[in-house]
Amino acid sequence: MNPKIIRNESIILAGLSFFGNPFETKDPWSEENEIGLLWQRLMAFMGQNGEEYKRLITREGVFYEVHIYHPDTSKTGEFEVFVGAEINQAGELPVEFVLKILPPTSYAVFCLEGEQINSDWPHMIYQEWMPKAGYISAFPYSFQYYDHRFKGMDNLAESVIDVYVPINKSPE
Amino acid sequence: MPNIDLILKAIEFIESHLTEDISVADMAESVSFSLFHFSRIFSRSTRHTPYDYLMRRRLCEAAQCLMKSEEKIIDIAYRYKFKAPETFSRAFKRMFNLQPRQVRLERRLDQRQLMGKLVPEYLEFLNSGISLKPEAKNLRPMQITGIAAPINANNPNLQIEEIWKLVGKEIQASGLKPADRDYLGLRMFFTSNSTNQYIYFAGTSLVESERAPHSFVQKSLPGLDYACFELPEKPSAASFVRKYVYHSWWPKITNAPLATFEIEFYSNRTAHKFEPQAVPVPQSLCFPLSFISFNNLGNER
Repeated sequence: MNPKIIRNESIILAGLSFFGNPFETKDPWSEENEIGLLWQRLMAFMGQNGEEYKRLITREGVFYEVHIYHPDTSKTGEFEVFVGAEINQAGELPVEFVLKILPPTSYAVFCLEGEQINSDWPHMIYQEWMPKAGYISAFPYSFQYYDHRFKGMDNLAESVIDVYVPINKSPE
Repeated sequence: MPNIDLILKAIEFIESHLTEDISVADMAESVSFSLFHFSRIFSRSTRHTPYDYLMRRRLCEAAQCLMKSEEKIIDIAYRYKFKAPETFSRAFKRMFNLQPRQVRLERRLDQRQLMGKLVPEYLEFLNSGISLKPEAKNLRPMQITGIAAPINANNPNLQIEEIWKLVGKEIQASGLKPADRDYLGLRMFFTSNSTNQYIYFAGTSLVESERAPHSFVQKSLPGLDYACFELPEKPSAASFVRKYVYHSWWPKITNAPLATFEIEFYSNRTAHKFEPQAVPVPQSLCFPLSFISFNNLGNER
Protein backbone atom coordinates (compact mmCIF):
# COMPACT_ATOMS: atom_id res chain seq x y z
CA MET A 1 0.00 0.00 0.00
CA ASN A 2 1.55 3.29 -1.05
CA PRO A 3 -0.50 6.23 0.09
CA LYS A 4 -0.14 9.88 -0.83
CA ILE A 5 0.79 12.10 2.11
CA ILE A 6 -1.00 15.45 1.97
CA ARG A 7 -1.83 18.32 4.27
CA ASN A 8 -5.43 19.63 4.48
CA GLU A 9 -6.86 22.65 6.15
CA SER A 10 -10.03 22.33 8.19
CA ILE A 11 -12.92 20.66 6.37
CA ILE A 12 -16.50 21.60 7.24
CA LEU A 13 -19.03 18.90 6.53
CA ALA A 14 -22.81 18.90 6.86
CA GLY A 15 -24.86 15.74 6.97
CA LEU A 16 -26.33 13.05 9.20
CA SER A 17 -24.83 11.11 12.06
CA PHE A 18 -25.28 7.80 13.87
CA PHE A 19 -23.71 6.56 17.10
CA GLY A 20 -23.71 2.91 18.08
CA ASN A 21 -22.74 -0.34 16.51
CA PRO A 22 -23.82 0.17 12.91
CA PHE A 23 -23.90 -3.60 12.33
CA GLU A 24 -26.59 -4.08 14.95
CA THR A 25 -29.65 -4.14 12.72
CA LYS A 26 -32.35 -2.57 14.90
CA ASP A 27 -35.09 -2.98 12.33
CA PRO A 28 -36.41 -6.53 12.77
CA TRP A 29 -37.99 -6.46 9.30
CA SER A 30 -34.83 -5.52 7.43
CA GLU A 31 -31.30 -6.84 7.01
CA GLU A 32 -29.82 -3.44 6.16
CA ASN A 33 -27.15 -2.10 8.48
CA GLU A 34 -27.14 1.40 9.97
CA ILE A 35 -24.52 2.78 7.60
CA GLY A 36 -26.64 1.80 4.62
CA LEU A 37 -29.71 3.30 6.31
CA LEU A 38 -27.81 6.52 7.05
CA TRP A 39 -26.89 6.90 3.39
CA GLN A 40 -30.47 6.16 2.35
CA ARG A 41 -31.76 8.87 4.71
CA LEU A 42 -29.25 11.38 3.40
CA MET A 43 -30.07 10.69 -0.24
CA ALA A 44 -33.80 10.69 0.44
CA PHE A 45 -33.58 14.03 2.23
CA MET A 46 -31.52 15.60 -0.52
CA GLY A 47 -33.90 14.27 -3.12
CA GLN A 48 -37.02 15.57 -1.37
CA ASN A 49 -36.10 18.93 0.09
CA GLY A 50 -32.38 19.48 0.04
CA GLU A 51 -32.25 22.62 -2.14
CA GLU A 52 -30.74 24.74 0.64
CA TYR A 53 -28.25 21.97 1.35
CA LYS A 54 -27.28 21.61 -2.30
CA ARG A 55 -26.61 25.36 -2.57
CA LEU A 56 -24.03 25.19 0.24
CA ILE A 57 -22.15 22.15 -1.09
CA THR A 58 -18.62 22.88 -2.26
CA ARG A 59 -18.43 20.03 -4.72
CA GLU A 60 -21.52 18.35 -6.15
CA GLY A 61 -21.42 14.58 -6.24
CA VAL A 62 -18.68 14.30 -3.62
CA PHE A 63 -19.53 12.72 -0.28
CA TYR A 64 -17.72 11.79 2.90
CA GLU A 65 -18.25 8.90 5.28
CA VAL A 66 -16.44 9.66 8.54
CA HIS A 67 -15.86 7.03 11.23
CA ILE A 68 -15.08 8.58 14.62
CA TYR A 69 -13.88 6.47 17.51
CA HIS A 70 -14.96 7.66 20.96
CA PRO A 71 -13.30 6.74 24.28
CA ASP A 72 -15.53 3.68 24.80
CA THR A 73 -15.25 2.39 21.24
CA SER A 74 -12.60 -0.25 21.90
CA LYS A 75 -14.64 -1.59 24.84
CA THR A 76 -18.11 -1.74 23.25
CA GLY A 77 -17.46 -1.58 19.53
CA GLU A 78 -19.75 1.44 19.25
CA PHE A 79 -18.56 4.41 17.22
CA GLU A 80 -19.89 7.40 15.31
CA VAL A 81 -20.62 7.32 11.59
CA PHE A 82 -21.19 10.59 9.79
CA VAL A 83 -22.18 10.91 6.14
CA GLY A 84 -22.35 14.21 4.34
CA ALA A 85 -20.72 16.68 2.03
CA GLU A 86 -18.29 19.58 2.29
CA ILE A 87 -19.82 23.02 2.63
CA ASN A 88 -18.32 26.49 2.29
CA GLN A 89 -19.72 27.87 5.47
CA ALA A 90 -22.17 26.92 8.18
CA GLY A 91 -25.04 28.98 6.86
CA GLU A 92 -28.69 28.10 7.35
CA LEU A 93 -28.73 24.35 7.35
CA PRO A 94 -31.86 22.20 7.65
CA VAL A 95 -32.40 21.40 11.32
CA GLU A 96 -32.12 17.68 10.60
CA PHE A 97 -28.47 18.15 9.70
CA VAL A 98 -25.37 18.27 11.86
CA LEU A 99 -22.01 19.89 11.23
CA LYS A 100 -18.75 18.02 11.47
CA ILE A 101 -15.56 20.08 11.47
CA LEU A 102 -12.46 18.05 10.66
CA PRO A 103 -9.30 19.71 11.98
CA PRO A 104 -6.34 20.81 9.87
CA THR A 105 -3.95 17.86 9.68
CA SER A 106 -1.79 15.70 7.50
CA TYR A 107 -3.42 12.69 5.90
CA ALA A 108 -2.24 9.44 4.39
CA VAL A 109 -4.56 8.92 1.43
CA PHE A 110 -5.11 5.34 0.27
CA CYS A 111 -6.83 4.53 -3.00
CA LEU A 112 -9.01 1.42 -2.68
CA GLU A 113 -10.30 -0.42 -5.74
CA GLY A 114 -12.92 -3.11 -6.12
CA GLU A 115 -12.92 -5.75 -3.40
CA GLN A 116 -10.29 -3.80 -1.43
CA ILE A 117 -13.21 -1.56 -0.40
CA ASN A 118 -14.76 -4.48 1.53
CA SER A 119 -11.45 -5.78 2.86
CA ASP A 120 -10.00 -5.19 6.31
CA TRP A 121 -8.20 -2.05 5.14
CA PRO A 122 -8.22 -0.50 8.64
CA HIS A 123 -6.04 -3.38 9.83
CA MET A 124 -3.72 -3.01 6.83
CA ILE A 125 -3.40 0.73 7.42
CA TYR A 126 -3.20 0.97 11.20
CA GLN A 127 -1.52 -2.32 12.16
CA GLU A 128 0.71 -2.89 9.12
CA TRP A 129 1.48 0.29 7.17
CA MET A 130 1.49 2.90 9.96
CA PRO A 131 4.12 1.39 12.28
CA LYS A 132 6.39 0.45 9.36
CA ALA A 133 6.09 3.90 7.77
CA GLY A 134 6.87 5.66 11.05
CA TYR A 135 3.53 7.35 11.64
CA ILE A 136 0.92 7.39 14.36
CA SER A 137 -2.76 8.24 14.25
CA ALA A 138 -3.24 12.01 14.72
CA PHE A 139 -6.96 11.93 15.53
CA PRO A 140 -9.43 9.14 16.31
CA TYR A 141 -11.20 9.26 12.94
CA SER A 142 -10.78 8.40 9.31
CA PHE A 143 -12.96 9.13 6.34
CA GLN A 144 -13.88 7.60 3.01
CA TYR A 145 -14.13 9.94 0.05
CA TYR A 146 -16.81 9.07 -2.53
CA ASP A 147 -16.95 10.71 -5.94
CA HIS A 148 -17.84 9.73 -9.52
CA ARG A 149 -15.45 6.78 -9.32
CA PHE A 150 -17.75 5.00 -6.88
CA LYS A 151 -20.32 2.96 -8.83
CA GLY A 152 -22.47 1.71 -5.95
CA MET A 153 -22.35 -1.22 -3.48
CA ASP A 154 -23.78 -3.47 -6.22
CA ASN A 155 -20.87 -2.65 -8.49
CA LEU A 156 -17.88 -2.65 -6.20
CA ALA A 157 -15.71 -4.37 -8.77
CA GLU A 158 -15.82 -1.18 -10.90
CA SER A 159 -15.55 1.22 -7.96
CA VAL A 160 -12.75 3.30 -6.47
CA ILE A 161 -12.77 5.28 -3.22
CA ASP A 162 -10.12 7.13 -1.25
CA VAL A 163 -9.54 6.58 2.47
CA TYR A 164 -8.03 9.47 4.42
CA VAL A 165 -6.26 8.69 7.69
CA PRO A 166 -5.01 11.62 9.81
CA ILE A 167 -1.34 11.10 10.74
CA ASN A 168 1.56 12.50 12.70
CA LYS A 169 5.13 11.41 12.61
CA SER A 170 6.03 8.87 15.32
CA PRO A 171 7.89 10.49 18.19
CA GLU A 172 11.59 9.42 18.15
CA MET B 1 -18.85 -15.77 2.90
CA PRO B 2 -17.16 -14.92 6.17
CA ASN B 3 -14.51 -17.25 7.51
CA ILE B 4 -16.48 -19.38 9.99
CA ASP B 5 -13.31 -20.74 11.57
CA LEU B 6 -12.17 -17.25 12.52
CA ILE B 7 -15.55 -16.42 14.00
CA LEU B 8 -15.47 -19.65 16.00
CA LYS B 9 -11.99 -18.72 17.20
CA ALA B 10 -13.32 -15.34 18.34
CA ILE B 11 -16.23 -17.07 20.09
CA GLU B 12 -13.80 -19.38 21.92
CA PHE B 13 -11.84 -16.30 23.00
CA ILE B 14 -14.99 -14.64 24.32
CA GLU B 15 -16.20 -17.80 26.06
CA SER B 16 -12.87 -18.32 27.81
CA HIS B 17 -12.92 -14.72 29.08
CA LEU B 18 -16.50 -14.32 30.26
CA THR B 19 -15.33 -13.57 33.79
CA GLU B 20 -12.50 -11.29 32.70
CA ASP B 21 -12.31 -7.69 31.55
CA ILE B 22 -12.19 -7.93 27.79
CA SER B 23 -13.08 -5.42 25.11
CA VAL B 24 -14.30 -5.72 21.53
CA ALA B 25 -10.82 -4.54 20.54
CA ASP B 26 -9.35 -7.57 22.37
CA MET B 27 -11.74 -9.88 20.53
CA ALA B 28 -10.74 -8.33 17.20
CA GLU B 29 -7.08 -8.71 18.06
CA SER B 30 -7.58 -12.41 18.88
CA VAL B 31 -8.31 -12.98 15.19
CA SER B 32 -6.02 -10.24 13.82
CA PHE B 33 -8.85 -8.07 12.51
CA SER B 34 -9.43 -4.34 12.90
CA LEU B 35 -12.31 -3.47 15.25
CA PHE B 36 -14.40 -2.21 12.31
CA HIS B 37 -13.92 -5.28 10.14
CA PHE B 38 -14.34 -7.66 13.09
CA SER B 39 -17.60 -6.00 14.14
CA ARG B 40 -18.91 -6.21 10.60
CA ILE B 41 -18.00 -9.86 10.07
CA PHE B 42 -19.01 -11.02 13.57
CA SER B 43 -22.38 -9.25 13.45
CA ARG B 44 -23.19 -10.55 9.99
CA SER B 45 -22.16 -14.10 10.86
CA THR B 46 -23.70 -14.50 14.29
CA ARG B 47 -26.56 -11.95 14.19
CA HIS B 48 -25.12 -10.42 17.38
CA THR B 49 -22.72 -7.55 17.76
CA PRO B 50 -19.60 -8.72 19.62
CA TYR B 51 -20.50 -6.72 22.72
CA ASP B 52 -24.08 -7.95 22.67
CA TYR B 53 -22.85 -11.57 22.46
CA LEU B 54 -20.48 -11.04 25.37
CA MET B 55 -23.15 -9.43 27.58
CA ARG B 56 -25.84 -12.00 26.73
CA ARG B 57 -23.52 -14.89 27.50
CA ARG B 58 -22.44 -13.30 30.77
CA LEU B 59 -26.07 -12.77 31.79
CA CYS B 60 -27.04 -16.32 30.83
CA GLU B 61 -24.17 -17.82 32.82
CA ALA B 62 -25.11 -15.56 35.73
CA ALA B 63 -28.71 -16.79 35.45
CA GLN B 64 -27.51 -20.41 35.64
CA CYS B 65 -25.55 -19.54 38.79
CA LEU B 66 -28.65 -17.95 40.32
CA MET B 67 -30.74 -21.04 39.64
CA LYS B 68 -28.21 -23.73 40.50
CA SER B 69 -25.91 -22.36 43.19
CA GLU B 70 -26.01 -20.60 46.53
CA GLU B 71 -23.47 -17.97 45.48
CA LYS B 72 -24.48 -14.46 46.62
CA ILE B 73 -26.11 -12.32 43.92
CA ILE B 74 -23.57 -9.54 44.46
CA ASP B 75 -20.69 -11.98 43.98
CA ILE B 76 -22.22 -13.31 40.77
CA ALA B 77 -22.62 -9.74 39.51
CA TYR B 78 -18.97 -8.89 40.16
CA ARG B 79 -17.76 -12.21 38.81
CA TYR B 80 -19.40 -11.47 35.47
CA LYS B 81 -17.83 -8.04 35.42
CA PHE B 82 -20.79 -5.85 36.26
CA LYS B 83 -19.57 -2.71 37.98
CA ALA B 84 -22.37 -2.63 40.56
CA PRO B 85 -25.30 -4.79 41.66
CA GLU B 86 -27.70 -2.17 40.28
CA THR B 87 -26.10 -2.33 36.83
CA PHE B 88 -26.37 -6.11 36.93
CA SER B 89 -30.03 -5.97 38.00
CA ARG B 90 -30.93 -3.55 35.22
CA ALA B 91 -29.18 -5.57 32.52
CA PHE B 92 -30.67 -8.81 33.89
CA LYS B 93 -34.19 -7.36 33.95
CA ARG B 94 -33.78 -6.03 30.42
CA MET B 95 -32.83 -9.47 29.15
CA PHE B 96 -35.07 -11.78 31.17
CA ASN B 97 -37.85 -9.47 32.32
CA LEU B 98 -37.19 -10.69 35.87
CA GLN B 99 -35.07 -9.42 38.74
CA PRO B 100 -32.09 -11.58 39.75
CA ARG B 101 -33.56 -12.10 43.23
CA GLN B 102 -36.80 -13.44 41.68
CA VAL B 103 -34.85 -16.02 39.71
CA ARG B 104 -32.83 -16.91 42.82
CA LEU B 105 -36.02 -17.29 44.87
CA GLU B 106 -38.01 -19.29 42.33
CA ARG B 107 -35.05 -21.12 40.75
CA ARG B 108 -36.69 -20.94 37.34
CA LEU B 109 -36.50 -19.06 34.08
CA ASP B 110 -37.96 -19.47 30.57
CA GLN B 111 -35.35 -21.84 29.17
CA ARG B 112 -35.87 -20.48 25.67
CA GLN B 113 -34.24 -17.23 26.76
CA LEU B 114 -31.04 -18.92 27.85
CA MET B 115 -28.47 -18.52 25.10
CA GLY B 116 -25.65 -21.04 25.12
CA LYS B 117 -22.34 -20.73 23.31
CA LEU B 118 -22.85 -20.51 19.54
CA VAL B 119 -22.02 -23.88 17.95
CA PRO B 120 -20.51 -24.49 14.50
CA GLU B 121 -23.69 -26.07 13.06
CA TYR B 122 -25.79 -23.06 13.99
CA LEU B 123 -23.16 -20.68 12.62
CA GLU B 124 -23.06 -22.60 9.35
CA PHE B 125 -26.83 -22.38 9.15
CA LEU B 126 -26.79 -18.61 9.70
CA ASN B 127 -24.18 -18.24 6.95
CA SER B 128 -25.71 -20.61 4.42
CA GLY B 129 -27.27 -17.80 2.42
CA ILE B 130 -30.83 -18.24 3.71
CA SER B 131 -32.95 -15.21 4.43
CA LEU B 132 -34.12 -14.83 8.00
CA LYS B 133 -36.38 -11.92 7.17
CA PRO B 134 -39.87 -12.66 8.48
CA GLU B 135 -43.16 -11.82 6.86
CA ALA B 136 -45.87 -10.08 8.89
CA LYS B 137 -49.11 -12.03 8.48
CA ASN B 138 -52.55 -11.60 9.90
CA LEU B 139 -53.91 -15.12 10.30
CA ARG B 140 -57.64 -15.64 10.34
CA PRO B 141 -59.30 -17.39 13.28
CA MET B 142 -59.17 -21.16 12.87
CA GLN B 143 -60.88 -24.18 14.32
CA ILE B 144 -58.30 -26.92 14.59
CA THR B 145 -58.46 -30.47 15.75
CA GLY B 146 -55.79 -32.95 16.68
CA ILE B 147 -53.83 -34.60 19.44
CA ALA B 148 -52.06 -32.74 22.24
CA ALA B 149 -49.45 -34.24 24.53
CA PRO B 150 -46.80 -32.99 26.95
CA ILE B 151 -43.25 -33.05 25.63
CA ASN B 152 -40.30 -33.40 27.97
CA ALA B 153 -36.63 -32.68 27.39
CA ASN B 154 -35.76 -36.32 26.63
CA ASN B 155 -35.65 -36.58 22.84
CA PRO B 156 -38.48 -34.14 22.07
CA ASN B 157 -38.23 -34.68 18.30
CA LEU B 158 -38.97 -38.36 18.68
CA GLN B 159 -41.97 -37.61 20.90
CA ILE B 160 -43.32 -35.15 18.32
CA GLU B 161 -42.80 -37.70 15.53
CA GLU B 162 -44.88 -40.24 17.44
CA ILE B 163 -47.73 -37.72 17.86
CA TRP B 164 -47.74 -37.01 14.12
CA LYS B 165 -47.81 -40.73 13.29
CA LEU B 166 -50.81 -41.11 15.57
CA VAL B 167 -52.55 -38.13 13.95
CA GLY B 168 -51.90 -39.65 10.52
CA LYS B 169 -53.35 -43.01 11.50
CA GLU B 170 -56.42 -41.47 13.13
CA ILE B 171 -57.14 -39.24 10.15
CA GLN B 172 -56.91 -42.16 7.77
CA ALA B 173 -59.01 -44.40 9.98
CA SER B 174 -61.73 -41.75 10.40
CA GLY B 175 -62.22 -41.34 6.65
CA LEU B 176 -61.17 -37.67 6.57
CA LYS B 177 -59.45 -36.65 3.36
CA PRO B 178 -55.79 -36.12 4.23
CA ALA B 179 -54.96 -34.02 1.18
CA ASP B 180 -55.84 -30.35 0.60
CA ARG B 181 -55.96 -29.28 4.21
CA ASP B 182 -53.74 -27.27 6.53
CA TYR B 183 -51.66 -29.21 8.99
CA LEU B 184 -50.15 -27.39 11.89
CA GLY B 185 -48.16 -27.98 15.02
CA LEU B 186 -48.66 -25.83 18.05
CA ARG B 187 -46.15 -25.52 20.89
CA MET B 188 -47.73 -24.19 24.05
CA PHE B 189 -45.43 -23.20 26.87
CA PHE B 190 -46.18 -23.19 30.56
CA THR B 191 -46.09 -19.83 32.31
CA SER B 192 -43.39 -21.24 34.55
CA ASN B 193 -41.30 -22.86 31.83
CA SER B 194 -38.22 -23.91 33.68
CA THR B 195 -37.81 -27.49 32.58
CA ASN B 196 -38.02 -27.34 28.78
CA GLN B 197 -41.46 -28.90 28.94
CA TYR B 198 -44.32 -27.80 26.73
CA ILE B 199 -47.54 -29.13 25.24
CA TYR B 200 -47.35 -30.10 21.57
CA PHE B 201 -50.51 -30.10 19.53
CA ALA B 202 -50.43 -31.78 16.11
CA GLY B 203 -53.51 -31.37 14.00
CA THR B 204 -55.42 -29.94 11.12
CA SER B 205 -58.19 -27.50 10.34
CA LEU B 206 -61.71 -28.84 9.84
CA VAL B 207 -64.28 -27.73 7.32
CA GLU B 208 -67.86 -27.40 8.55
CA SER B 209 -69.13 -30.69 7.28
CA GLU B 210 -66.35 -32.75 8.81
CA ARG B 211 -66.34 -34.67 12.06
CA ALA B 212 -63.11 -35.04 13.93
CA PRO B 213 -61.96 -38.45 15.16
CA HIS B 214 -63.14 -39.18 18.73
CA SER B 215 -59.61 -39.11 20.06
CA PHE B 216 -59.03 -35.56 18.80
CA VAL B 217 -59.44 -32.41 20.85
CA GLN B 218 -60.51 -29.15 19.25
CA LYS B 219 -59.01 -25.72 19.65
CA SER B 220 -59.92 -22.24 18.52
CA LEU B 221 -57.00 -20.23 17.27
CA PRO B 222 -57.78 -16.51 17.34
CA GLY B 223 -57.01 -14.19 14.45
CA LEU B 224 -53.73 -12.48 15.30
CA ASP B 225 -50.72 -10.80 13.70
CA TYR B 226 -47.74 -13.10 13.38
CA ALA B 227 -44.13 -12.90 12.28
CA CYS B 228 -43.67 -15.89 9.99
CA PHE B 229 -40.33 -17.36 9.02
CA GLU B 230 -40.01 -19.61 5.98
CA LEU B 231 -38.05 -22.75 6.81
CA PRO B 232 -35.42 -23.97 4.34
CA GLU B 233 -35.24 -27.68 3.64
CA LYS B 234 -32.22 -28.24 5.82
CA PRO B 235 -31.78 -30.53 8.80
CA SER B 236 -32.55 -28.82 12.10
CA ALA B 237 -33.84 -25.73 10.26
CA ALA B 238 -36.78 -25.29 12.64
CA SER B 239 -34.58 -25.60 15.69
CA PHE B 240 -32.06 -23.09 14.32
CA VAL B 241 -34.74 -20.60 13.31
CA ARG B 242 -36.16 -20.84 16.83
CA LYS B 243 -32.73 -20.13 18.28
CA TYR B 244 -32.40 -17.11 15.99
CA VAL B 245 -35.86 -15.82 16.96
CA TYR B 246 -35.39 -16.35 20.71
CA HIS B 247 -31.90 -14.86 20.97
CA SER B 248 -31.53 -12.37 18.09
CA TRP B 249 -34.82 -11.36 16.51
CA TRP B 250 -37.29 -11.18 19.42
CA PRO B 251 -34.96 -9.14 21.71
CA LYS B 252 -34.67 -6.57 18.90
CA ILE B 253 -38.37 -5.84 18.83
CA THR B 254 -39.42 -6.06 22.44
CA ASN B 255 -38.41 -6.55 26.05
CA ALA B 256 -41.62 -8.49 26.61
CA PRO B 257 -41.34 -12.19 27.42
CA LEU B 258 -41.42 -14.65 24.56
CA ALA B 259 -44.89 -15.58 23.38
CA THR B 260 -46.49 -18.52 25.15
CA PHE B 261 -47.19 -20.38 21.92
CA GLU B 262 -45.74 -20.87 18.43
CA ILE B 263 -47.22 -22.37 15.27
CA GLU B 264 -45.52 -24.62 12.70
CA PHE B 265 -47.28 -24.75 9.34
CA TYR B 266 -47.03 -27.73 7.05
CA SER B 267 -47.85 -27.17 3.39
CA ASN B 268 -50.46 -29.03 1.36
CA ARG B 269 -47.61 -30.41 -0.69
CA THR B 270 -46.73 -32.59 2.28
CA ALA B 271 -50.32 -33.75 2.54
CA HIS B 272 -50.49 -34.87 -1.09
CA LYS B 273 -47.93 -37.48 -0.28
CA PHE B 274 -49.77 -38.27 2.90
CA GLU B 275 -48.84 -41.53 4.45
CA PRO B 276 -50.01 -42.30 7.95
CA GLN B 277 -46.53 -43.23 9.15
CA ALA B 278 -44.86 -40.23 7.55
CA VAL B 279 -43.89 -37.27 9.67
CA PRO B 280 -44.51 -33.97 7.88
CA VAL B 281 -41.73 -31.41 7.72
CA PRO B 282 -42.68 -27.86 8.77
CA GLN B 283 -42.59 -25.20 6.07
CA SER B 284 -42.86 -22.11 8.24
CA LEU B 285 -42.75 -21.01 11.86
CA CYS B 286 -45.03 -18.26 13.12
CA PHE B 287 -44.74 -16.25 16.32
CA PRO B 288 -47.65 -14.13 17.61
CA LEU B 289 -46.91 -10.43 17.86
CA SER B 290 -49.48 -9.29 20.35
CA PHE B 291 -46.92 -9.36 23.21
CA ILE B 292 -49.49 -10.61 25.62
CA SER B 293 -49.23 -13.87 27.45
CA PHE B 294 -51.75 -15.68 25.32
CA ASN B 295 -52.74 -18.62 27.44
CA ASN B 296 -56.42 -18.66 26.66
CA LEU B 297 -56.44 -20.93 23.63
CA GLY B 298 -59.96 -22.32 23.66
CA ASN B 299 -59.97 -26.02 24.51
CA GLU B 300 -63.08 -27.83 23.37
CA ARG B 301 -64.01 -31.41 22.57
